[in-house]
Amino acid sequence: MLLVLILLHGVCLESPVDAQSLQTQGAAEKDTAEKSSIDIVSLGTEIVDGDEQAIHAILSQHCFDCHGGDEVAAALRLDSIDLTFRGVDAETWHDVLNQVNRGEMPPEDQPEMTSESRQKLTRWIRANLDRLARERKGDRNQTVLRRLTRYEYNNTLCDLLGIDLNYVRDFPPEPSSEDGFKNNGAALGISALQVEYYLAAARYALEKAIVEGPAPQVHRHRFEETSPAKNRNDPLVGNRMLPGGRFLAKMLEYPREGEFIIRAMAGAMVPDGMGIPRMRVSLGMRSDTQSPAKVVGEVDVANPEAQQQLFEFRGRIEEYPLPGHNPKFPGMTITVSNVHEDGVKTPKPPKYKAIALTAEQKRSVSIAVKSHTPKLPPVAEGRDEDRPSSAVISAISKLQRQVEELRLLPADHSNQTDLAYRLYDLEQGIENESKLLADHAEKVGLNAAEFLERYREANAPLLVDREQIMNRFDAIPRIDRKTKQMVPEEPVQPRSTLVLNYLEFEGPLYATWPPEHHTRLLPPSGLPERERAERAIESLMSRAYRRPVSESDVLPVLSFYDEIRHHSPSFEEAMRETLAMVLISPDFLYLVEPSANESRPLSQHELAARLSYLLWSTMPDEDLRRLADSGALGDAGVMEKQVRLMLADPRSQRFVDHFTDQWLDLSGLDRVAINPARYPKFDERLKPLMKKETQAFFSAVLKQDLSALNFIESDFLTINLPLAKHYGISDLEGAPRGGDFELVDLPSDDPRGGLLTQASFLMINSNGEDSHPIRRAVWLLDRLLGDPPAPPPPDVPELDSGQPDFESLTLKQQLEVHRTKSACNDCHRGIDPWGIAFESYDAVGLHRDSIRRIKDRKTVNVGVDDQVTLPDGSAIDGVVGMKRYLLQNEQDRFARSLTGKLLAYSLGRSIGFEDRDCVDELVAVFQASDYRLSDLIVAIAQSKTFQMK
Amino acid sequence: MTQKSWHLDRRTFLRGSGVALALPWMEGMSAHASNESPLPNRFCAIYWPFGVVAAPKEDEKDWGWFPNGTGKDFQFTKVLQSMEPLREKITVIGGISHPNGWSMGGHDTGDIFLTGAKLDHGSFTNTISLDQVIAEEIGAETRFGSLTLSSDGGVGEPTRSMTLAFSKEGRPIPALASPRQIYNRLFGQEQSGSALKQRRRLQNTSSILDRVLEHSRSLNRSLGQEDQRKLDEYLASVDAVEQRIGRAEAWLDIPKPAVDESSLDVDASQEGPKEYIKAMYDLISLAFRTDSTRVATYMLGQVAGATTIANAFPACLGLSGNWHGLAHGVGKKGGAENLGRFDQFLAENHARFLQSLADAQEGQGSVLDRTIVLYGSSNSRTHNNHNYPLLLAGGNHLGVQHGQYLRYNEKEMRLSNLYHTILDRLNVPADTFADSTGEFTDILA
Repeated sequence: MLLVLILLHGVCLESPVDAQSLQTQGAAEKDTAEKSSIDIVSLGTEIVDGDEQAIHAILSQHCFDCHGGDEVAAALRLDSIDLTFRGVDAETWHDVLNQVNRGEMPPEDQPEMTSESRQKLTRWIRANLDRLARERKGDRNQTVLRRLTRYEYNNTLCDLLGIDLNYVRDFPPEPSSEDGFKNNGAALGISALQVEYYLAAARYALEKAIVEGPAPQVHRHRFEETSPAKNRNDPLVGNRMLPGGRFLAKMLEYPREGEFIIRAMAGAMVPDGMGIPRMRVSLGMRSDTQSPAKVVGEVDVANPEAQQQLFEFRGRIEEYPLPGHNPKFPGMTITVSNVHEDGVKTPKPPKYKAIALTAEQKRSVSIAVKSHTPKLPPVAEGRDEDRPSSAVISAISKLQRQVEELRLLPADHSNQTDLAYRLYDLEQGIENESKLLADHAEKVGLNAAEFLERYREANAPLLVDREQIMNRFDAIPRIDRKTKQMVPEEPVQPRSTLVLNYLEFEGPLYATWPPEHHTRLLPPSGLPERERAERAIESLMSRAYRRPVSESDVLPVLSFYDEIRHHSPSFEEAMRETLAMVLISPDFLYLVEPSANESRPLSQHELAARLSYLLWSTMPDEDLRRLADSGALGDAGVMEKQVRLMLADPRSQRFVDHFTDQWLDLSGLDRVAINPARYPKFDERLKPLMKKETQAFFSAVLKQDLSALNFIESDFLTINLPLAKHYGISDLEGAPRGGDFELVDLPSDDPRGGLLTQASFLMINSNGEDSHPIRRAVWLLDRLLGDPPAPPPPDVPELDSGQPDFESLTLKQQLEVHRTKSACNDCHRGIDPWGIAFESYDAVGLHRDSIRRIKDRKTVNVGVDDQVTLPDGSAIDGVVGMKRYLLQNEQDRFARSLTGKLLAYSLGRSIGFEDRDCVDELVAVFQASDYRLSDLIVAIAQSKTFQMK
Repeated sequence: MTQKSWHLDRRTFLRGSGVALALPWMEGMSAHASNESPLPNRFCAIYWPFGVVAAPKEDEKDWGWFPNGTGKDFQFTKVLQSMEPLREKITVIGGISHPNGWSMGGHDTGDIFLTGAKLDHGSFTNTISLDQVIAEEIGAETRFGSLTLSSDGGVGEPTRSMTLAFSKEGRPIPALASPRQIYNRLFGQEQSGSALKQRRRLQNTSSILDRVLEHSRSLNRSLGQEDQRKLDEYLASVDAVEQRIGRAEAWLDIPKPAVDESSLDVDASQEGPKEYIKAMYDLISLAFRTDSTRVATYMLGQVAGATTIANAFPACLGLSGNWHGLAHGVGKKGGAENLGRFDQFLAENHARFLQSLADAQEGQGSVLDRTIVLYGSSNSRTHNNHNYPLLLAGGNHLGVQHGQYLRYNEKEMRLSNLYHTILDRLNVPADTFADSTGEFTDILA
């Protein structure tokens, strides 16, 4: 080995000379060489003795210049690589093969490799890899003892005990493997901290599951009106909820533990063409927005209000913010709200504080009131008993006070709201004045109209004065002091309204006592305690360990029970502690598949567990368990039927969500901070919807058996109303009208479709201000084509913008500057073009024609340039061109990549080149079935690789 | 024993008048310490990713991280300006690094900041971190052996770890990231019933773990090699918990120190880095001052670039771009100031933390005098694994002297030598640390 290295190094030192002398060799050969990538499979696989020397020669001539010595490009050193293909170098050879095959290496600016050399090299690598795969099969790349992930553990605990709670809130987040998966056995470590949490979670769960004492009191409440009552005047609070409106139900008595149900009888008033109200039910401590509350559920309400429907929401009360034991604000509040947004601003009563007059102003008002208050004309000579009541006099005097105060205020006073209220009051006062005078006239037997006329004549100067004062304020609106509405009311457009008839709360819910989750764990109390204990242990163990258990499994646990029973206060407490032991055993926390170092077929129960964690992210259910008991899972037909059944089950949504999230790195959305200065209209609440869009898209392709090529290009989207608005297509025919995700057909000329125009991909690979073409490129190469570029080498220089007009360059031009440095160019010429093609989409996933950039604190607009040339020489015109190119040229790479990712997720391990045969077979099935995911999943489940340890 | 409430209003907290902060071991809160026992030694390490403005251009000198001048005669730039009041309690160190990191990827060296190991292509086995060496020696004195924090939490993945701490087997120790969770762990009162019940359960735990260990060892024999390695991790973890149980029992009768929750922002989240980073520092400070632990690490951010929450910190603060982007953009016009301002923000937080320790009286000095605090990054500028920016503080009563800016040639001095000397100062017996070749004598008094 040492000799080989020395030899190689010698060659390396001479290579520059060789390289130069060969520089003139024909470029004409390049064409043939690049096309050779399709030949991989047909190339021969025999190894000829003595080849190694010829291979050295080729490598040293073409590769060692950059990939030799201490300073190597792309962290790839070939002059010291093991030519006998041992150790990790095998993976490196695989990369070399791919790069050379695709014509990406040697790069353009280096001497051309003759097609003969290229074939010789690729054939030799290929043959060696084949040999190695044969040698290694079975003894490497097993699925390693795999711990349940956080979410798998939680689902399993919920299903095992029948209590849906979040047991893992405090657990540390899971690492991802290099290929992005969280269920990779090698990456999933464990530490003392986690063991502590597992034990605490087990005890907490069993505390809930095993009950003692009498049945708890059930709380039932029914609300027909919102509470507290004083909110009823708020146009936003009540039974009829405009978008943004709420209905509040306060409970002073509530359970502190157990499942609850909230029932809402509701309907909707939806004007033609408007969006559908979305009902959200949340539960928390207080109704004001500051205090904590948690959403119980959300649903589109489309049924007309005349046909009310009952909607049910369930949860465990422990998961909601409960008041402390002696709270400042006792009670809990259920809030029902219409979270549909129609963009119309609900006129809110303006907040207002009365204009304060100075003491001097007040004095002058008082003086003026005395001299300016209109007097009542005498009714008739000498009839004192007809004097007006004091109510009339004080009302008129109050009116005058209002006039006098207004006299002191300018019409452009900053407090326009108070002026509006004052003017409204004044007009009301004048109306009231006429009414009072008319009443008075009638009371004393006079004609009201005539009396009023006399009043006006008698006080003419004062009344003209009053009118003049009011004229000054003509431009100011009036606001009704009671309703807080503008007068006259602005014409109100009908808006989508959620109508709540009544709301009910009930909890804790127990069909029986002790509840089912208790009796499922502990056999009936008629039996002797120890027998109960033994049966309970065995029953939980066999479900928790996902296999039949033997006496040797049960005995150590039972002996622990014996040890602690006498000092435990009750049988139940002893059982909680005993069963906790089961729940921290490796047989529960890990998918245990014991085998010595040889490969072996999985047992039926191990296979059932793999399948269940693949498709449901939880333990097998009763049906699957029975199938495993019967031994039928080995049958390919039975397996296919079972996979399809499981995919049709709602629990397969977990597969959709987790696989999509991990494959496409959707959690990346949470790591991007969108700059509000750049995107003032962007609403953070869209982020989870963007994630959901991609998951819904995957779900549609899977569940409707569509071609997976739809991931590259599709003629439909999966969106809801808020996303349709974000994308600016809410006017599109068939666009969704509510919060639920729907499949929407796209016009044929729409550039959108597939994963690559979804906001998730575009935003995850942005920096929150602008697109990030390099990241987009890496994502595309890594996640869709399965060929991630090498990570940045040590000591990458900074992007130096010595050029003064750097900021005004298009990103493509900026990256060209970047590439003029050869250190950058080595890698980036193969990366950048893939991402620049998406330049017509901004950081929030919207189409754009120009790019805003800040230069010297000023905004400059730079044109979009998304025309690129890929490393293989193909000219690509933007997103549409890129998608066309991928469909025409990259179907194979895409199919291989997706197959590999799915296989990695299924097995809980990384896929190496030893899996090549398996992947080849699966890709063949996948392609033969027109890229149907369900067929691929069935094929994986039936594959030897999946069924073998 | 009566318990005093540790109500720390902001002013007391910052000034540390020492009145409200009567030291806990003097009240007999430590299980082991008595009035005669010596004052504790402590260690804290804070790390940030992507380096700094290491070699500023002439017109951007203000935003360089390293001071101007050397030795005792040096001037802080704007970035470390907040350290000026602490000048005699800190040392700035430049030029040194882990030689093992030189050939590693520019994003890969966060893992080895406290370990000095070499993680090569294909081999990701780390070695024990400095804080854990110390915790093994002195961790048993306190309720918590060590406190491992990071802004993202968990362990991350090799070369992109989200923790600074590695066990003696080289396995990552998960970091806590939620101030609420950390607060509850340190100071929260147990909710699971009476002391009697807790004691019973603690005794049960010991027995449960024993049996689980025994069962697992027999399971281990039926497994293949790779599987055995994984199960060994499990066994070691269970074993570690078992060892803690004895200690936990000793602590059962000693109430956790009562720290008023409102004295810090336990609900701060990563979306508000200003409040969040302060809360994390406050928790370390409180943990030290209540003698809940004597060893703490906090990874402010990770070199995992785009894949972390901490990467968005600068953007959340209103600076232009994410952390990685700022570091990459140093060469751009105004780029040095952009990163410099963020580094200034980090330094201000660190200075406030140091000040809180310096203000807390302990014996004849302060808590800081008996705490060695390391603050640094494993990149000088982005992707460069040389010339780490480092700031050492505290330990004046442990024979450490400060007030200098020390610069070294990387061929003559390495970071592990400093670590060796830190161990020595803390009275942790060690002949070497990782690849150390000698002592770091320039900080010795």
